[in-house]
Amino acid sequence: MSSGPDRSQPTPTFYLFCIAVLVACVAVLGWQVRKLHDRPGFHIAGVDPRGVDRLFTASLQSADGMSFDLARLKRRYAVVFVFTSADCSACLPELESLARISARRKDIQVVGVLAYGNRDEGRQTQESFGFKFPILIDPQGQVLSAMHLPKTPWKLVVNLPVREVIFQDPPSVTGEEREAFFQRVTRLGYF
Amino acid sequence: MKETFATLFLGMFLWGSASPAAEPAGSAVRLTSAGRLMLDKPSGRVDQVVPLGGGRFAVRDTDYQHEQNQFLEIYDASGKRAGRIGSFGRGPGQFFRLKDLAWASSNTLWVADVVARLTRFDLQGKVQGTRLVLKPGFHIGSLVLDEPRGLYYLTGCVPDRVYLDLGCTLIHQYDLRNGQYLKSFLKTDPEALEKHLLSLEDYLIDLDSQGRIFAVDVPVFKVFRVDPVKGDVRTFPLASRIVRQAPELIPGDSLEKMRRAYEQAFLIDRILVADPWVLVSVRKPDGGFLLQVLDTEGRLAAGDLPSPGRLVGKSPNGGFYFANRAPKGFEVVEYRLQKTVRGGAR
Repeated sequence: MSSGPDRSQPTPTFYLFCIAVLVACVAVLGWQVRKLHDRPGFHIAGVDPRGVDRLFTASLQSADGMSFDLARLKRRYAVVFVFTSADCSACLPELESLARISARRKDIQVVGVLAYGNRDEGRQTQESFGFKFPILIDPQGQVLSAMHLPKTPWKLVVNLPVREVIFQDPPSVTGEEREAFFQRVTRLGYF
Repeated sequence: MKETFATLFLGMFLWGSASPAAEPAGSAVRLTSAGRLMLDKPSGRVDQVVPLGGGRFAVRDTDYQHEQNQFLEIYDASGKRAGRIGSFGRGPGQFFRLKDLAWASSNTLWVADVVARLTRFDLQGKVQGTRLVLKPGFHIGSLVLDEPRGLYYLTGCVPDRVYLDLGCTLIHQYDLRNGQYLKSFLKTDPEALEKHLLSLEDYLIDLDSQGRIFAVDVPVFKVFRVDPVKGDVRTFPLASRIVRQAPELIPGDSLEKMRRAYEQAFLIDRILVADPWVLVSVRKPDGGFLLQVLDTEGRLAAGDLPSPGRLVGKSPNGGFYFANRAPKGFEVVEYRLQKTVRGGAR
Protein backbone atom coordinates (compact mmCIF):
# COMPACT_ATOMS: atom_id res chain seq x y z
CA MET A 1 0.00 0.00 0.00
CA SER A 2 1.58 3.37 -1.09
CA SER A 3 1.38 6.31 1.35
CA GLY A 4 2.64 9.12 -1.09
CA PRO A 5 0.88 12.50 -1.72
CA ASP A 6 -2.69 12.37 -3.04
CA ARG A 7 -2.34 13.75 -6.63
CA SER A 8 -6.13 14.11 -7.09
CA GLN A 9 -6.18 17.11 -4.63
CA PRO A 10 -4.82 20.55 -5.86
CA THR A 11 -1.84 21.76 -3.91
CA PRO A 12 -1.68 25.21 -2.19
CA THR A 13 0.85 26.23 -4.87
CA PHE A 14 -1.78 25.62 -7.51
CA TYR A 15 -4.26 27.88 -5.66
CA LEU A 16 -1.67 30.62 -5.39
CA PHE A 17 -0.89 30.31 -9.10
CA CYS A 18 -4.60 30.65 -10.01
CA ILE A 19 -5.00 33.70 -7.81
CA ALA A 20 -1.91 35.28 -9.39
CA VAL A 21 -3.27 34.67 -12.91
CA LEU A 22 -6.63 36.15 -11.92
CA VAL A 23 -5.03 39.28 -10.45
CA ALA A 24 -2.92 39.70 -13.58
CA CYS A 25 -6.02 39.42 -15.80
CA VAL A 26 -7.90 41.97 -13.73
CA ALA A 27 -4.94 44.35 -13.84
CA VAL A 28 -4.65 44.08 -17.62
CA LEU A 29 -8.41 44.54 -18.02
CA GLY A 30 -8.38 47.60 -15.76
CA TRP A 31 -5.47 49.11 -17.65
CA GLN A 32 -7.28 48.60 -20.95
CA VAL A 33 -10.55 50.06 -19.68
CA ARG A 34 -8.70 53.06 -18.32
CA LYS A 35 -6.99 53.56 -21.66
CA LEU A 36 -10.37 53.34 -23.33
CA HIS A 37 -11.82 55.96 -20.98
CA ASP A 38 -8.93 58.33 -21.63
CA ARG A 39 -8.88 57.82 -25.36
CA PRO A 40 -9.62 61.22 -26.86
CA GLY A 41 -12.64 61.42 -29.07
CA PHE A 42 -13.97 58.04 -28.09
CA HIS A 43 -17.31 59.37 -26.96
CA ILE A 44 -17.32 62.73 -28.74
CA ALA A 45 -20.45 63.58 -30.67
CA GLY A 46 -21.03 67.18 -31.55
CA VAL A 47 -18.64 69.37 -29.66
CA ASP A 48 -16.20 71.35 -31.79
CA PRO A 49 -12.65 70.68 -30.52
CA ARG A 50 -11.65 74.26 -31.36
CA GLY A 51 -14.37 75.38 -28.99
CA VAL A 52 -12.82 73.26 -26.27
CA ASP A 53 -9.56 75.09 -26.95
CA ARG A 54 -11.40 78.35 -26.27
CA LEU A 55 -12.10 77.05 -22.80
CA PHE A 56 -8.36 77.09 -22.16
CA THR A 57 -7.46 80.25 -24.02
CA ALA A 58 -10.38 82.57 -23.22
CA SER A 59 -9.80 84.70 -20.17
CA LEU A 60 -13.02 84.13 -18.31
CA GLN A 61 -13.75 85.61 -14.94
CA SER A 62 -15.46 83.69 -12.22
CA ALA A 63 -18.60 84.91 -10.51
CA ASP A 64 -16.58 86.20 -7.56
CA GLY A 65 -14.54 88.42 -9.89
CA MET A 66 -11.34 86.35 -9.89
CA SER A 67 -9.77 85.28 -13.14
CA PHE A 68 -9.78 81.54 -13.58
CA ASP A 69 -7.36 79.74 -15.86
CA LEU A 70 -8.36 76.18 -16.67
CA ALA A 71 -4.97 75.62 -18.33
CA ARG A 72 -3.12 76.12 -15.03
CA LEU A 73 -5.06 73.53 -13.09
CA LYS A 74 -2.91 70.69 -11.79
CA ARG A 75 -5.76 68.20 -11.71
CA ARG A 76 -6.22 65.38 -14.13
CA TYR A 77 -9.87 65.83 -15.05
CA ALA A 78 -12.39 68.64 -15.26
CA VAL A 79 -16.14 68.43 -15.61
CA VAL A 80 -17.30 71.52 -17.49
CA PHE A 81 -20.99 72.33 -17.26
CA VAL A 82 -21.98 74.81 -19.97
CA PHE A 83 -25.33 76.46 -19.41
CA THR A 84 -27.33 79.63 -19.94
CA SER A 85 -29.89 81.34 -17.80
CA ALA A 86 -32.53 80.11 -20.22
CA ASP A 87 -31.96 76.42 -19.65
CA CYS A 88 -34.80 74.13 -18.85
CA SER A 89 -36.01 73.80 -15.32
CA ALA A 90 -35.59 70.06 -15.32
CA CYS A 91 -31.95 70.34 -16.42
CA LEU A 92 -30.48 72.80 -13.95
CA PRO A 93 -30.76 70.39 -10.98
CA GLU A 94 -27.74 68.77 -12.62
CA LEU A 95 -25.76 71.41 -10.79
CA GLU A 96 -26.58 69.55 -7.58
CA SER A 97 -25.12 66.29 -8.88
CA LEU A 98 -22.03 68.20 -10.01
CA ALA A 99 -21.65 69.48 -6.46
CA ARG A 100 -21.70 65.82 -5.33
CA ILE A 101 -18.96 65.01 -7.82
CA SER A 102 -16.93 67.94 -6.58
CA ALA A 103 -17.27 66.71 -3.00
CA ARG A 104 -16.53 63.05 -3.84
CA ARG A 105 -13.49 63.45 -6.11
CA LYS A 106 -11.04 66.15 -5.14
CA ASP A 107 -8.91 65.35 -8.16
CA ILE A 108 -11.74 66.33 -10.51
CA GLN A 109 -12.30 70.04 -11.00
CA VAL A 110 -15.94 70.95 -11.62
CA VAL A 111 -16.47 74.23 -13.45
CA GLY A 112 -19.67 75.90 -14.60
CA VAL A 113 -19.64 78.17 -17.63
CA LEU A 114 -22.58 80.58 -17.63
CA ALA A 115 -23.13 81.89 -21.13
CA TYR A 116 -25.03 85.16 -21.68
CA GLY A 117 -24.85 85.96 -17.99
CA ASN A 118 -23.10 88.35 -15.64
CA ARG A 119 -21.31 87.90 -12.31
CA ASP A 120 -24.42 88.76 -10.37
CA GLU A 121 -26.33 85.97 -12.11
CA GLY A 122 -23.42 83.58 -11.53
CA ARG A 123 -23.55 84.30 -7.81
CA GLN A 124 -27.33 83.83 -7.82
CA THR A 125 -26.80 80.40 -9.38
CA GLN A 126 -24.27 79.42 -6.72
CA GLU A 127 -26.53 80.61 -3.91
CA SER A 128 -29.65 78.96 -5.31
CA PHE A 129 -28.04 75.54 -5.64
CA GLY A 130 -25.63 75.89 -2.72
CA PHE A 131 -22.32 74.86 -4.21
CA LYS A 132 -18.81 76.28 -4.13
CA PHE A 133 -17.22 75.25 -7.41
CA PRO A 134 -16.46 78.19 -9.70
CA ILE A 135 -18.88 79.59 -12.25
CA LEU A 136 -17.09 81.25 -15.15
CA ILE A 137 -18.91 84.02 -16.95
CA ASP A 138 -19.10 83.99 -20.73
CA PRO A 139 -21.04 87.26 -21.14
CA GLN A 140 -21.30 87.31 -24.92
CA GLY A 141 -21.60 83.54 -25.27
CA GLN A 142 -18.33 83.40 -27.24
CA VAL A 143 -17.09 80.13 -25.75
CA LEU A 144 -20.53 78.62 -26.12
CA SER A 145 -20.70 79.67 -29.78
CA ALA A 146 -17.23 78.31 -30.50
CA MET A 147 -18.19 74.89 -29.16
CA HIS A 148 -21.22 74.56 -31.43
CA LEU A 149 -23.06 72.57 -28.82
CA PRO A 150 -26.35 71.12 -30.03
CA LYS A 151 -28.11 72.38 -26.91
CA THR A 152 -27.52 73.50 -23.36
CA PRO A 153 -26.90 72.63 -20.63
CA TRP A 154 -24.09 70.38 -21.83
CA LYS A 155 -21.47 68.51 -19.87
CA LEU A 156 -17.91 67.92 -21.01
CA VAL A 157 -15.44 65.71 -19.18
CA VAL A 158 -11.99 66.93 -20.10
CA ASN A 159 -8.61 65.31 -19.68
CA LEU A 160 -6.77 68.42 -18.52
CA PRO A 161 -3.10 67.53 -19.25
CA VAL A 162 -3.87 66.81 -22.90
CA ARG A 163 -6.83 69.24 -23.14
CA GLU A 164 -9.12 66.75 -24.77
CA VAL A 165 -12.70 65.80 -24.18
CA ILE A 166 -12.99 62.25 -22.85
CA PHE A 167 -16.73 62.13 -23.02
CA GLN A 168 -19.68 64.45 -23.00
CA ASP A 169 -23.30 64.31 -22.07
CA PRO A 170 -26.46 66.11 -23.17
CA PRO A 171 -28.91 67.51 -20.61
CA SER A 172 -30.00 64.95 -18.06
CA VAL A 173 -33.72 65.24 -17.57
CA THR A 174 -34.47 62.43 -15.14
CA GLY A 175 -32.83 61.55 -11.86
CA GLU A 176 -31.68 58.24 -13.37
CA GLU A 177 -29.79 60.05 -16.12
CA ARG A 178 -28.15 62.37 -13.62
CA GLU A 179 -27.15 59.40 -11.46
CA ALA A 180 -25.68 57.56 -14.45
CA PHE A 181 -23.49 60.56 -15.25
CA PHE A 182 -22.46 60.86 -11.61
CA GLN A 183 -21.45 57.19 -11.48
CA ARG A 184 -19.54 57.41 -14.72
CA VAL A 185 -17.56 60.47 -13.65
CA THR A 186 -16.79 59.25 -10.15
CA ARG A 187 -15.33 56.04 -11.64
CA LEU A 188 -12.95 58.05 -13.84
CA GLY A 189 -9.38 56.84 -13.51
CA TYR A 190 -10.46 53.61 -11.80
CA PHE A 191 -11.68 50.64 -13.59
CA MET B 1 -100.46 108.87 -33.27
CA LYS B 2 -97.78 109.37 -35.91
CA GLU B 3 -96.04 111.83 -33.61
CA THR B 4 -96.14 109.34 -30.75
CA PHE B 5 -94.49 106.67 -32.89
CA ALA B 6 -91.95 109.13 -34.23
CA THR B 7 -91.07 110.27 -30.69
CA LEU B 8 -90.84 106.67 -29.51
CA PHE B 9 -88.63 105.73 -32.48
CA LEU B 10 -86.40 108.79 -31.99
CA GLY B 11 -86.16 108.05 -28.29
CA MET B 12 -85.17 104.43 -28.95
CA PHE B 13 -82.62 105.57 -31.53
CA LEU B 14 -81.06 108.10 -29.17
CA TRP B 15 -81.01 105.60 -26.29
CA GLY B 16 -79.37 103.05 -28.56
CA SER B 17 -76.72 105.45 -29.82
CA ALA B 18 -75.91 106.64 -26.32
CA SER B 19 -75.41 103.08 -25.11
CA PRO B 20 -72.03 101.62 -25.84
CA ALA B 21 -71.88 98.96 -28.51
CA ALA B 22 -70.26 96.55 -26.10
CA GLU B 23 -73.41 95.78 -24.17
CA PRO B 24 -75.48 92.82 -25.28
CA ALA B 25 -78.91 92.27 -23.79
CA GLY B 26 -78.74 90.95 -20.26
CA SER B 27 -75.33 92.42 -19.46
CA ALA B 28 -74.91 93.73 -15.95
CA VAL B 29 -72.10 96.04 -17.03
CA ARG B 30 -71.16 98.25 -19.91
CA LEU B 31 -67.95 99.84 -21.10
CA THR B 32 -67.79 103.60 -21.26
CA SER B 33 -64.97 105.51 -22.81
CA ALA B 34 -62.89 107.63 -20.43
CA GLY B 35 -60.16 109.01 -22.66
CA ARG B 36 -58.00 108.26 -25.63
CA LEU B 37 -54.43 108.65 -26.76
CA MET B 38 -52.84 108.37 -30.19
CA LEU B 39 -49.45 106.70 -30.05
CA ASP B 40 -46.95 107.91 -32.59
CA LYS B 41 -46.09 104.37 -33.58
CA PRO B 42 -46.41 103.82 -37.31
CA SER B 43 -45.41 100.15 -37.26
CA GLY B 44 -45.17 97.15 -35.01
CA ARG B 45 -47.67 96.04 -32.42
CA VAL B 46 -49.07 97.11 -29.09
CA ASP B 47 -49.18 94.09 -26.82
CA GLN B 48 -49.16 95.77 -23.45
CA VAL B 49 -49.50 99.29 -22.09
CA VAL B 50 -48.24 100.11 -18.62
CA PRO B 51 -48.78 103.58 -17.12
CA LEU B 52 -45.58 104.93 -15.56
CA GLY B 53 -46.72 108.09 -13.84
CA GLY B 54 -46.45 111.62 -15.15
CA GLY B 55 -48.66 110.63 -18.05
CA ARG B 56 -46.00 108.39 -19.56
CA PHE B 57 -46.53 104.85 -20.78
CA ALA B 58 -44.38 101.82 -21.44
CA VAL B 59 -45.46 99.85 -24.47
CA ARG B 60 -44.45 96.26 -25.09
CA ASP B 61 -44.21 95.35 -28.76
CA THR B 62 -43.47 91.65 -29.11
CA ASP B 63 -43.47 89.87 -32.40
CA TYR B 64 -42.51 86.29 -31.63
CA GLN B 65 -42.52 85.44 -35.35
CA HIS B 66 -39.71 87.95 -35.91
CA GLU B 67 -37.93 88.01 -32.59
CA GLN B 68 -35.52 90.78 -33.55
CA ASN B 69 -38.53 93.08 -33.86
CA GLN B 70 -39.27 93.23 -30.16
CA PHE B 71 -39.29 96.62 -28.54
CA LEU B 72 -39.89 98.15 -25.20
CA GLU B 73 -40.88 101.76 -25.77
CA ILE B 74 -41.60 104.75 -23.57
CA TYR B 75 -44.22 107.29 -24.68
CA ASP B 76 -44.96 110.65 -23.17
CA ALA B 77 -48.42 111.97 -22.30
CA SER B 78 -48.93 113.29 -25.83
CA GLY B 79 -48.26 109.87 -27.36
CA LYS B 80 -44.82 110.79 -28.69
CA ARG B 81 -42.12 108.17 -28.34
CA ALA B 82 -39.59 109.24 -25.71
CA GLY B 83 -37.20 106.32 -26.03
CA ARG B 84 -36.56 102.63 -26.30
CA ILE B 85 -35.24 100.34 -23.57
CA GLY B 86 -33.10 97.23 -23.98
CA SER B 87 -32.69 95.24 -27.15
CA PHE B 88 -33.13 91.75 -28.52
CA GLY B 89 -30.61 89.24 -27.21
CA ARG B 90 -29.89 86.73 -24.50
CA GLY B 91 -27.60 88.71 -22.23
CA PRO B 92 -28.38 90.85 -19.19
CA GLY B 93 -30.21 94.02 -20.22
CA GLN B 94 -31.51 92.27 -23.32
CA PHE B 95 -34.62 90.26 -23.95
CA PHE B 96 -35.20 87.16 -25.97
CA ARG B 97 -38.97 87.02 -25.75
CA LEU B 98 -40.61 89.78 -23.77
CA LYS B 99 -43.46 88.33 -21.78
CA ASP B 100 -44.66 90.92 -19.28
CA LEU B 101 -43.98 94.32 -17.75
CA ALA B 102 -44.70 95.83 -14.36
CA TRP B 103 -44.02 99.29 -12.98
CA ALA B 104 -42.72 99.50 -9.42
CA SER B 105 -43.02 102.45 -7.05
CA SER B 106 -39.20 102.57 -6.95
CA ASN B 107 -39.46 104.01 -10.48
CA THR B 108 -38.17 100.84 -12.07
CA LEU B 109 -39.70 98.93 -14.90
CA TRP B 110 -39.68 95.17 -14.31
CA VAL B 111 -39.34 93.16 -17.48
CA ALA B 112 -40.00 89.44 -17.58
CA ASP B 113 -38.24 87.53 -20.34
CA VAL B 114 -39.23 84.00 -21.26
CA VAL B 115 -35.63 82.90 -20.73
CA ALA B 116 -36.14 82.90 -16.97
CA ARG B 117 -34.74 86.38 -16.40
CA LEU B 118 -36.22 89.41 -14.68
CA THR B 119 -34.59 92.72 -15.50
CA ARG B 120 -35.20 96.01 -13.73
CA PHE B 121 -34.65 99.08 -15.89
CA ASP B 122 -34.84 102.75 -15.03
CA LEU B 123 -36.58 104.96 -17.55
CA GLN B 124 -33.28 105.93 -19.14
CA GLY B 125 -32.87 102.27 -20.04
CA LYS B 126 -30.10 101.60 -17.52
CA VAL B 127 -30.16 98.13 -16.01
CA GLN B 128 -30.77 98.36 -12.27
CA GLY B 129 -30.47 94.63 -11.71
CA THR B 130 -31.21 91.22 -13.12
CA ARG B 131 -32.48 88.12 -11.42
CA LEU B 132 -32.55 84.61 -12.75
CA VAL B 133 -35.38 82.26 -12.00
CA LEU B 134 -33.45 79.19 -10.98
CA LYS B 135 -34.95 77.08 -8.27
CA PRO B 136 -37.52 76.21 -9.27
CA GLY B 137 -36.57 77.03 -12.83
CA PHE B 138 -39.14 77.64 -15.52
CA HIS B 139 -39.88 79.77 -18.53
CA ILE B 140 -41.75 82.84 -17.41
CA GLY B 141 -45.32 83.37 -18.58
CA SER B 142 -46.30 86.51 -16.72
CA LEU B 143 -45.30 88.77 -13.87
CA VAL B 144 -47.26 90.77 -11.32
CA LEU B 145 -46.00 92.84 -8.39
CA ASP B 146 -47.80 92.96 -5.05
CA GLU B 147 -45.93 95.83 -3.44
CA PRO B 148 -48.31 96.36 -0.47
CA ARG B 149 -47.52 92.83 0.70
CA GLY B 150 -43.86 92.84 -0.39
CA LEU B 151 -44.34 90.02 -2.90
CA TYR B 152 -44.22 89.31 -6.56
CA TYR B 153 -45.59 86.45 -8.59
CA LEU B 154 -44.44 84.72 -11.75
CA THR B 155 -46.15 82.06 -13.77
CA GLY B 156 -44.47 79.17 -15.50
CA CYS B 157 -44.68 75.43 -15.76
CA VAL B 158 -42.69 73.67 -13.03
CA PRO B 159 -43.17 69.97 -13.74
CA ASP B 160 -44.59 67.83 -10.97
CA ARG B 161 -43.16 64.65 -12.50
CA VAL B 162 -40.16 65.69 -14.60
CA TYR B 163 -42.08 66.14 -17.87
CA LEU B 164 -44.11 69.28 -18.58
CA ASP B 165 -46.97 67.42 -20.25
CA LEU B 166 -47.67 65.39 -17.11
CA GLY B 167 -48.75 68.45 -15.17
CA CYS B 168 -47.15 71.41 -13.50
CA THR B 169 -47.41 73.89 -10.67
CA LEU B 170 -48.07 77.22 -12.30
CA ILE B 171 -47.89 80.25 -9.97
CA HIS B 172 -44.78 81.04 -7.94
CA GLN B 173 -44.47 83.55 -5.12
CA TYR B 174 -41.28 85.52 -4.35
CA ASP B 175 -40.12 88.00 -1.76
CA LEU B 176 -39.94 91.43 -3.36
CA ARG B 177 -36.95 92.56 -1.25
CA ASN B 178 -34.48 89.80 -2.00
CA GLY B 179 -36.10 87.76 -4.75
CA GLN B 180 -36.24 84.67 -2.55
CA TYR B 181 -38.62 81.98 -3.76
CA LEU B 182 -41.39 81.37 -1.22
CA LYS B 183 -44.00 78.93 -2.51
CA SER B 184 -46.04 77.80 -5.51
CA PHE B 185 -49.73 77.41 -6.19
CA LEU B 186 -52.20 76.00 -8.71
CA LYS B 187 -51.82 72.77 -10.64
CA THR B 188 -52.47 72.36 -14.35
CA ASP B 189 -56.18 71.96 -15.00
CA PRO B 190 -57.19 68.34 -15.76
CA GLU B 191 -58.81 69.48 -19.02
CA ALA B 192 -55.44 70.69 -20.32
CA LEU B 193 -53.83 67.37 -19.41
CA GLU B 194 -56.58 65.23 -20.91
CA LYS B 195 -56.55 67.17 -24.18
CA HIS B 196 -52.73 67.43 -24.34
CA LEU B 197 -52.93 71.22 -24.66
CA LEU B 198 -49.36 71.91 -23.55
CA SER B 199 -48.35 73.51 -26.84
CA LEU B 200 -51.19 76.04 -26.54
CA GLU B 201 -50.76 76.79 -22.87
CA ASP B 202 -49.67 80.08 -21.38
CA TYR B 203 -50.41 81.21 -17.85
CA LEU B 204 -51.62 84.76 -17.17
CA ILE B 205 -52.35 86.37 -13.82
CA ASP B 206 -53.42 89.55 -12.11
CA LEU B 207 -54.18 90.51 -8.51
CA ASP B 208 -57.12 92.12 -6.78
CA SER B 209 -56.77 94.65 -3.98
CA GLN B 210 -56.77 91.88 -1.37
CA GLY B 211 -53.76 90.23 -2.96
CA ARG B 212 -55.76 87.32 -4.37
CA ILE B 213 -54.46 85.95 -7.64
CA PHE B 214 -56.72 85.58 -10.66
CA ALA B 215 -55.20 83.20 -13.18
CA VAL B 216 -56.00 81.66 -16.53
CA ASP B 217 -54.43 78.94 -18.62
CA VAL B 218 -55.15 80.36 -22.06
CA PRO B 219 -56.83 77.41 -23.84
CA VAL B 220 -58.93 76.51 -20.78
CA PHE B 221 -62.10 78.55 -20.44
CA LYS B 222 -61.94 78.99 -16.68
CA VAL B 223 -60.70 81.57 -14.21
CA PHE B 224 -58.85 80.35 -11.13
CA ARG B 225 -58.80 82.45 -7.98
CA VAL B 226 -55.98 81.64 -5.59
CA ASP B 227 -55.78 82.94 -2.06
CA PRO B 228 -52.03 82.93 -1.39
CA VAL B 229 -52.52 83.20 2.37
CA LYS B 230 -54.87 80.25 2.79
CA GLY B 231 -53.66 78.47 -0.32
CA ASP B 232 -57.18 77.64 -1.47
CA VAL B 233 -58.12 77.70 -5.13
CA ARG B 234 -61.56 78.41 -6.55
CA THR B 235 -62.46 77.73 -10.15
CA PHE B 236 -64.95 79.88 -12.05
CA PRO B 237 -65.99 78.43 -15.42
CA LEU B 238 -66.65 81.04 -18.10
CA ALA B 239 -69.88 80.81 -20.08
CA SER B 240 -70.03 81.67 -23.74
CA ARG B 241 -72.25 80.97 -26.71
CA ILE B 242 -69.48 81.81 -29.13
CA VAL B 243 -66.30 80.29 -27.76
CA ARG B 244 -65.48 76.75 -28.87
CA GLN B 245 -63.40 74.75 -26.44
CA ALA B 246 -59.94 73.81 -27.65
CA PRO B 247 -59.92 70.45 -29.43
CA GLU B 248 -57.85 67.55 -28.20
CA LEU B 249 -54.32 67.66 -29.61
CA ILE B 250 -52.26 64.66 -30.53
CA PRO B 251 -48.86 64.61 -28.82
CA GLY B 252 -46.05 64.48 -31.33
CA ASP B 253 -48.10 66.02 -34.12
CA SER B 254 -46.21 68.12 -36.65
CA LEU B 255 -45.40 71.74 -35.92
CA GLU B 256 -47.62 72.73 -38.82
CA LYS B 257 -50.63 71.02 -37.24
CA MET B 258 -49.85 72.58 -33.89
CA ARG B 259 -49.59 76.01 -35.52
CA ARG B 260 -52.95 75.50 -37.21
CA ALA B 261 -54.49 74.40 -33.93
CA TYR B 262 -53.09 77.56 -32.32
CA GLU B 263 -54.53 79.79 -35.02
CA GLN B 264 -57.95 78.13 -34.94
CA ALA B 265 -58.34 78.07 -31.18
CA PHE B 266 -60.18 80.54 -29.00
CA LEU B 267 -57.46 81.55 -26.56
CA ILE B 268 -57.60 83.84 -23.58
CA ASP B 269 -55.45 86.82 -24.44
CA ARG B 270 -55.35 88.66 -21.12
CA ILE B 271 -56.90 88.76 -17.67
CA LEU B 272 -56.96 92.02 -15.73
CA VAL B 273 -58.50 92.83 -12.38
CA ALA B 274 -59.75 96.26 -11.31
CA ASP B 275 -61.91 95.81 -8.23
CA PRO B 276 -64.66 94.77 -8.32
CA TRP B 277 -64.26 93.52 -11.88
CA VAL B 278 -62.27 90.79 -13.53
CA LEU B 279 -61.99 91.32 -17.26
CA VAL B 280 -61.04 88.39 -19.48
CA SER B 281 -60.25 89.00 -23.14
CA VAL B 282 -60.57 86.08 -25.56
CA ARG B 283 -58.92 86.08 -28.97
CA LYS B 284 -61.23 84.87 -31.73
CA PRO B 285 -59.69 82.74 -34.49
CA ASP B 286 -61.22 84.95 -37.20
CA GLY B 287 -59.82 88.14 -35.65
CA GLY B 288 -61.10 90.39 -32.92
CA PHE B 289 -61.69 89.77 -29.28
CA LEU B 290 -64.53 88.93 -26.91
CA LEU B 291 -64.79 90.05 -23.32
CA GLN B 292 -66.03 88.12 -20.33
CA VAL B 293 -66.68 90.14 -17.18
CA LEU B 294 -66.81 88.61 -13.71
CA ASP B 295 -66.85 90.14 -10.31
CA THR B 296 -64.10 89.12 -7.92
CA GLU B 297 -66.42 86.51 -6.38
CA GLY B 298 -66.60 84.77 -9.75
CA ARG B 299 -70.14 85.80 -10.72
CA LEU B 300 -70.48 86.39 -14.43
CA ALA B 301 -71.56 89.99 -15.06
CA ALA B 302 -71.35 89.87 -18.84
CA GLY B 303 -70.36 87.29 -21.38
CA ASP B 304 -69.37 87.61 -25.00
CA LEU B 305 -69.10 91.40 -25.01
CA PRO B 306 -67.60 92.56 -28.29
CA SER B 307 -64.28 94.11 -27.38
CA PRO B 308 -63.53 97.68 -28.50
CA GLY B 309 -59.96 96.63 -29.34
CA ARG B 310 -57.25 94.51 -27.88
CA LEU B 311 -57.16 94.62 -24.08
CA VAL B 312 -53.62 95.78 -23.32
CA GLY B 313 -53.51 97.16 -19.79
CA LYS B 314 -55.23 98.87 -16.94
CA SER B 315 -55.09 102.42 -15.69
CA PRO B 316 -54.27 103.44 -12.11
CA ASN B 317 -57.86 104.62 -11.59
CA GLY B 318 -59.62 101.38 -12.43
CA GLY B 319 -59.99 101.69 -16.19
CA PHE B 320 -58.86 99.32 -18.91
CA TYR B 321 -56.82 100.18 -21.99
CA PHE B 322 -57.80 98.88 -25.41
CA ALA B 323 -55.54 99.34 -28.44
CA ASN B 324 -56.45 99.56 -32.10
CA ARG B 325 -54.34 100.19 -35.14
CA ALA B 326 -55.05 103.61 -36.65
CA PRO B 327 -53.86 105.12 -39.95
CA LYS B 328 -50.89 106.94 -38.38
CA GLY B 329 -50.19 104.84 -35.34
CA PHE B 330 -52.14 103.16 -32.59
CA GLU B 331 -55.12 104.47 -30.74
CA VAL B 332 -55.27 103.53 -27.08
CA VAL B 333 -58.65 104.12 -25.46
CA GLU B 334 -59.37 103.89 -21.76
CA TYR B 335 -62.71 102.35 -20.87
CA ARG B 336 -64.39 101.92 -17.52
CA LEU B 337 -66.83 99.22 -16.58
CA GLN B 338 -70.08 100.51 -15.16
CA LYS B 339 -73.10 98.70 -13.84
CA THR B 340 -76.13 98.98 -16.07
CA VAL B 341 -79.45 100.10 -14.62
CA ARG B 342 -81.19 96.80 -15.30
CA GLY B 343 -78.28 94.60 -14.26
CA GLY B 344 -75.65 95.32 -11.69
CA ALA B 345 -73.20 93.14 -9.93
CA ARG B 346 -74.86 90.92 -7.43
